[in-house]
Amino acid sequence: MKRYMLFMAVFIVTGFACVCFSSFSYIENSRLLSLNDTLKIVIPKGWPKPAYDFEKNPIIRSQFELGRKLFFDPLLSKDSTISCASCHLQFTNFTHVDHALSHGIFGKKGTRNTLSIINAAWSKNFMWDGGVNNIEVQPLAPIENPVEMDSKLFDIVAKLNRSEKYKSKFKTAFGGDEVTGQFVLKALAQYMLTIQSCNSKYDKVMRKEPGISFNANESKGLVLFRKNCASCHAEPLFTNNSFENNGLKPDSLLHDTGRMKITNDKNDSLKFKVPSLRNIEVSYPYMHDGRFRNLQMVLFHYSNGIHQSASLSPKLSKGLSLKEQDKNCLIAFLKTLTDEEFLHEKKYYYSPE
Amino acid sequence: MINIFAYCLITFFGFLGNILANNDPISSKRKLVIEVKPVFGKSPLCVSTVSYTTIKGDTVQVDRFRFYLSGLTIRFENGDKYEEQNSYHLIDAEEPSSFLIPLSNVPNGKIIALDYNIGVDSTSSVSGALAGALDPVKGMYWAWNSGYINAKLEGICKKNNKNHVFEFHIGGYSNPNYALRSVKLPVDFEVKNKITLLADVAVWLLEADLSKENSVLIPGREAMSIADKYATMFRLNN
Repeated sequence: MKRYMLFMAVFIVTGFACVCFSSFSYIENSRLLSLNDTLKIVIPKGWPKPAYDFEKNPIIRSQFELGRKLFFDPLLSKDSTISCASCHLQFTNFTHVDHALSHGIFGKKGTRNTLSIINAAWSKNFMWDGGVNNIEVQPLAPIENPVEMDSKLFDIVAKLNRSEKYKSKFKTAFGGDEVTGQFVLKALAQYMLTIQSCNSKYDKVMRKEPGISFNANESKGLVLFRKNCASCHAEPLFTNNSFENNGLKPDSLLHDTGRMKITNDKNDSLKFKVPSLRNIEVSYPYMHDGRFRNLQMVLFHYSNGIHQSASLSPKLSKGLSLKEQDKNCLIAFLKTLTDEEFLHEKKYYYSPE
Repeated sequence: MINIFAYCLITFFGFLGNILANNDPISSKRKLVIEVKPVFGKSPLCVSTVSYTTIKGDTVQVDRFRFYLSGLTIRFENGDKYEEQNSYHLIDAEEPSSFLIPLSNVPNGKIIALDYNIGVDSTSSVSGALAGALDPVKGMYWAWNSGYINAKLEGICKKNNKNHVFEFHIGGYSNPNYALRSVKLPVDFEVKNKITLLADVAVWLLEADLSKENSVLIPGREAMSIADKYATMFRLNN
């Protein structure tokens, strides 16, 4: 009898435990399902394959949301004052509008103009000198730069591990009880990889959407653009992802040799990444050191200001031959690259919980 | 009553756990530990506390000594080899727990050689944010120019009553400055369950003139020649 009771008791206890466990895991799973949604990256018609391998690393909602939270969190800097979003503002094309050289921690100034991070999934390397080879490790550069965030990934991970809120978000997104450096970098990459601009007037005209077309100046501007600019600023990304010396006179205070800093090759001296021109209207000032305040100054440089040097792009050896009216048309065309939907897209905002 | 159940359950799972842990049907496999010992000549390396004399007569203190040991392979007399999977280890003189590399399921034959790399291969260097020993949180990853730091040696050289700080961060993942180095060490003694590998900083600094060359922090020709040098700093301790 005693033995019978014992078996009964084991049976009941086990059964109860199973019921509890399964209902609990059911709730857990249903919550995870929505957070584990993969977010589709749309490759617009005519665009090349992204450089980033989304099949290996799909965008997962919980990781994307965590990355967005980190992107806006000044915790990433040494004294918790500077976030990624301090210099990469969405409404100005994820650049630092009105700042030739961005300022970081303690108001210290850097040596380069903030690069946009739009369409980063299509970029093979990062930074003006291409020194970073994968978007997942890109954040290390601003994080560790003494004039930007002046922090260490180690310290960030320690701070995050002290926050129960962050720890539970990381656990949901990546599993594991501890926040790791890899998880921080992967989360930031997930957010940055979704930053995609492809709905400008230019895109809509190219897609032949009804009711939208270029005016006469914009049309002429496109023809001029394809003749004079597109060999480097290639459609549809408006960059060929290469490095060029575009004839800027070297700044005697900054002494920036660009790509040569990475390759040690003197043929790369004064070469910088060809930036995309998408949303160029809102991402002033221009060039790697932000020396030009507006597009008129940029075009004046290409027509009249080319500085001759050994590594100058051969395409610019004589400068561009552009009349004033041509320049106006080119600027009219460049303004069709402004993507208002993207600049105000809500999914990129972070609103504190 | 509940106590008895709990006791039974614990005993049962304990027993099950024991079976799983000890059950190794392949008796021809064994466990083997590779122990990496940082030394300076004949002395164990003590970080930041002891001064050593180099062969050139300089007095040095080592404050940081770290390197990646990767691609560990054990070769056997019969031609077989054992290759450790996902083989990346960060050996850190300040972290004695990093000195031991436990290997399981190593074949039982006579070991004749130990092969490994110092540094991280180029594939891993372009693969984004990785985990474990390769997590950039370990401080062995460059921020401004991607790639792992294969080896770090930092310290102070006291010469002519002057202190020279020396700092070597050696890396580079692409040609012509690919600083990965392979090391092949013949094993000419009977191995039981441990192989002790000495990493000798005195050999790294053998020909170094620290008053002149005391800072190499980027990939390039100097880094390549230092990598050549430290690839020779290993010996087995019988």
